[in-house]
Amino acid sequence: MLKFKLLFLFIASLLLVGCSEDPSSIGSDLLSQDLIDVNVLDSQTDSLSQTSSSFLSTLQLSGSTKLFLGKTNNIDEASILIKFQYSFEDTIKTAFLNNSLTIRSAYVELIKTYSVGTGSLDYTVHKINSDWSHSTFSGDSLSSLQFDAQDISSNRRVSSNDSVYSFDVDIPSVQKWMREAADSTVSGDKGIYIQPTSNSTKIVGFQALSSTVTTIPRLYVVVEKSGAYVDTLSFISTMDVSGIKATLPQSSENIFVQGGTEIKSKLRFDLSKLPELAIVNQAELTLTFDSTASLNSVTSNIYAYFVADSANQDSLSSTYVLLQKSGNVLSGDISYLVQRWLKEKINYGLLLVPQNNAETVDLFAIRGSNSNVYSERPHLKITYTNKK
Amino acid sequence: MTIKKILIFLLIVLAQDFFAQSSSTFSRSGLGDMIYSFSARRVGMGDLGIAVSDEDFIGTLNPASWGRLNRTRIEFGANWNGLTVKQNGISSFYSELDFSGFAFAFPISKKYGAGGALGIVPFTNVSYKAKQNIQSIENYDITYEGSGGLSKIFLGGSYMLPFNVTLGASLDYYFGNINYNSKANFTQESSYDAEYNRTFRPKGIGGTFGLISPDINGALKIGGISDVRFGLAVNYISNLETDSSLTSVSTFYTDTIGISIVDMHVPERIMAGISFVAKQTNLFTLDYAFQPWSKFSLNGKTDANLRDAHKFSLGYEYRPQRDNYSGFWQQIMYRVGLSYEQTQYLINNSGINQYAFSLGTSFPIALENTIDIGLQYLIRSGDNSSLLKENTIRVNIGISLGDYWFIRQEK
Repeated sequence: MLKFKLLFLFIASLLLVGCSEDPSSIGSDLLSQDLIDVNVLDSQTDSLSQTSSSFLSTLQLSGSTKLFLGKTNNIDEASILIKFQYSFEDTIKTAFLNNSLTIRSAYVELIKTYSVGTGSLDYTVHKINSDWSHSTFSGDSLSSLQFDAQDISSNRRVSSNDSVYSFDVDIPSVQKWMREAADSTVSGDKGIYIQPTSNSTKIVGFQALSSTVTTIPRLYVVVEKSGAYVDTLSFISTMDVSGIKATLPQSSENIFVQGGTEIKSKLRFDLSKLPELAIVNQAELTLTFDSTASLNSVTSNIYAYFVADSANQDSLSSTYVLLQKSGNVLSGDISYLVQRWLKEKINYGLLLVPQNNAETVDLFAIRGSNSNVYSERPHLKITYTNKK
Repeated sequence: MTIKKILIFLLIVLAQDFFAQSSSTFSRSGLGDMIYSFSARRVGMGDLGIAVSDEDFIGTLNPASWGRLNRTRIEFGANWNGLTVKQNGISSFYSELDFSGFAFAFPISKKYGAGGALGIVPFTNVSYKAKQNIQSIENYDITYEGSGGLSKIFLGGSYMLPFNVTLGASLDYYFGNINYNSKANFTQESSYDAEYNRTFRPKGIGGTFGLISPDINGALKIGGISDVRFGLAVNYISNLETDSSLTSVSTFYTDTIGISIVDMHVPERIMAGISFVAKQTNLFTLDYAFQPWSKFSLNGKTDANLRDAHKFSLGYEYRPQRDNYSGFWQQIMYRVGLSYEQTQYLINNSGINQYAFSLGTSFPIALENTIDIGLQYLIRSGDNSSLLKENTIRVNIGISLGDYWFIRQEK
């Protein structure tokens, strides 16, 4: 029995001594058929050709939580349309219909949530005469909007801490709206149009209609029933939207990206120098930010979208990478996008858009492919593995 | 019986590739290292034994050797390889345990030299790993790994012709899965690893044909000598249909970037040997094997790293007379072998040669059952001093079980 035990121990010991060292470099020189190496393709040192351009399209802002108002260098008009919901108790309604209720004052309050640019904001308020819908209204719709030329606002003011913007509304106009609301046989009002004047040099964003936020636009109406009471009625926004008209900044040095207006940029590198079978280990895109030509209120980022559709290269695909701003550069890892270009053997380039394009009108000026300063052009550095 | 079960369990369950590697990057060329024998018995005698026809062991190189079996037999085994590779003053040690084969054979008629056998045995073996650390653009490691090999399933029989010449033949089915992997690993977390896998899956049929001569000592009449036999065997392999694929593996995609079906031509193997028994207990063998690997081709392309392979081996076995009254120690068999091989590898125009010294023994479990152990020390190197040099210790453990099967019951 002892001999079998010894044999068993011998076999077991073979298993136990089977621990191997980590592989070493010995013999790797004989593997010419399988050798791989890691290289770098740098758009600057390898002189990769690249193209970039900017274009303007219209963005529909019904999904935004902000209402933009004002003007900047390239935003000709950022206007607000609001329609209030008039609902009141039967006694108030009866009093309106009996002409026993007097409106003492009426004013609108807007709560500021965003600002870009410096200087002043000035505006007028008009009664809208045509139908509109927040879900379809855009900057392009402004030209066809019908409204009274009369400015129905006065006493435009800002709270001391610059957080609440308000203006008084012409009382006959409010009286008419409320009477129309109380009398179902009369067609209702179509809301107000807040339009910046040419004196405006900045854009302010206000809280838009939201089911979860209480700071939405409100119309306050102070009413008096003679000898009985004085009351303040509050009517909230039931529909609001911004419309922005902009022009594309002209520059031979820069490309631009802007929210609200949907100024986007295309950027494409010629990667024909990248081997077809390469595996991308890292691809870092760095863009140089031109702060003098930009308009930013906060530190924000932009997205680099993979352009997937040759027929519709301006549309946003589901694949994107965030380029984060740090100092005067925006950078991000676009390895997946480069690998996808290689795999699909099609490279339509990147589409650059703001991170929150409906929530900001920040203007990013980025050094383009034709920038006179070569080192400030878009820079793509690809580390890749290739089969020799 | 319990011990038997434990050992069988160990060998079957653990008959997988456990450890890192059993060869060096030499095995990247062709189909890797040639494997001649799966059994500890042959390993202990220099691997070949083409002219040996045993009653109690299954030879897999020459089908004509199945004619003298006296019992139905099952044999299987496992190899442990401890490999030290040296190059330019650097050395590394690796080891691997792998399945070395299985065979089942049965006698049909001893009078007519008729026997049958089937089994599965490895034919070639690819097993290497190498790793380079690169510190240039970034700090990264590249690991190269090869694994797999060609195996064969055989089914055949033997028959004795007039003048006691035994012929044997087997139908062989060759199959394999050979993988070559190259992988770049980055230490920096922001970089993604990259990997290329090249895989070949050959399959096809072949045949092994052999003969063993009658005892010619009747003519020679040398005193104290018996069982003087010549043997000859030829392995023929048809062109193997080979699925070939190249896959790239990144963090984002696993992409098959090349796929095709190609022909693989594996040259025939020709083996010849002589054996004789001296004073009834001492078996001597002398063998030669040849395989023109210079004719190996894959998709019509030959491999510049291959040349024709030649192997010479010399074996000795001490086999005591066994009976039911012999003690354990009196039944132990001992073997010794030497071999020289001009391997098929021709690396950087330098031929790689191999020298091997082997020892072996068989411990009886019962009269017809043995546990066999073969121990081999191999040195493989080339003329060029900058080439790597391998020192291998190979331990082969096998079990050979024999019993009476298919016996007609007397009525």
